[in-house]
Amino acid sequence: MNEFLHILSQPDNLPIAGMLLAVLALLGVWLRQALRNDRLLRDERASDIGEEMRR
Amino acid sequence: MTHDAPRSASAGTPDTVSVWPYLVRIELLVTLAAMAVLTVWSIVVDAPLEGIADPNRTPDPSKAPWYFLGLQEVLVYFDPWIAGVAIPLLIVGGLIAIPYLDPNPRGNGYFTLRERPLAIGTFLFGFLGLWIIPILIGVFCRGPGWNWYWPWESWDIAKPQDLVTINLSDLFGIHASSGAFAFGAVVVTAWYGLGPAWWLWKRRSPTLARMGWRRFAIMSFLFLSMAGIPLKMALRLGWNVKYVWVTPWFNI
Repeated sequence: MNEFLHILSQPDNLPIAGMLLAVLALLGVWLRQALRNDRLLRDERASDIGEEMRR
Repeated sequence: MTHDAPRSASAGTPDTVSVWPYLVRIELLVTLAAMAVLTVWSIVVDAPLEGIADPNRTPDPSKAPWYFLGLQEVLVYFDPWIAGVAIPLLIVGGLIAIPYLDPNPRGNGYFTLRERPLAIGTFLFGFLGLWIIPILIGVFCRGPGWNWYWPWESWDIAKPQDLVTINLSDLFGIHASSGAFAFGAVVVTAWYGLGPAWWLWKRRSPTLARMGWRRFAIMSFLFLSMAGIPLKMALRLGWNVKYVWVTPWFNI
């Protein structure tokens, strides 16, 4: 585990930690919004999607 | 938001806004914030420069910058002309071809999973599986001798390198070079033949009829090439297979 922590803490590799967090966070934002929109589509309320995404 | 996206139901809310100032203003603010972060970072954290280069004492492992480590990892499994030339060209060409290959307007301007499961699945496979994960493998799982070390394993424990690699034909008892050539040709042809086979099987479906054979041929070639990369990686990691197809001119 020492090597892992050593690699992770290298200044060169800090962007990787940022990238991992960004990828997970943005995938989460997408999935949450996509599921909301899918619910609207299933309820035949496609016209409400624009309003939903502006929230 | 494009003209294909669902329209807002509420009166008075515009469906489109101008790039200036609504988008450019946000981009300017993000640029300034990024510059501020980079400035503070460069002041606070020292660049990890090493000592003067010594040809008698080379670093092991010698790793590329993190953003190139995915490419360096792919070089383990493919010859340089494939890993460094063909695959990047296919990635760039494939990305350029997406609007031509996928004219389906659903999902334009709004997030959805239900309406575009194949497109989203393909994107996630390519982005996470073929880009992010090879970078993580290269950064965290490659130690001395470019051997595989799990994050909880110490690099002080020397691992013997796998000096003996085999071809896929050897797994099936075919060792003669002519036999290996023919075997590899059959395997690669059969792999890329999955596309035409799928076309013949599903040719009456409205999706394929709308797509047309040219578009389908390009898409199936790109899709099978993409799916072949992790298969080759698994063959190398699991069975020490170096080449699927050995020819006098090139090796795959």
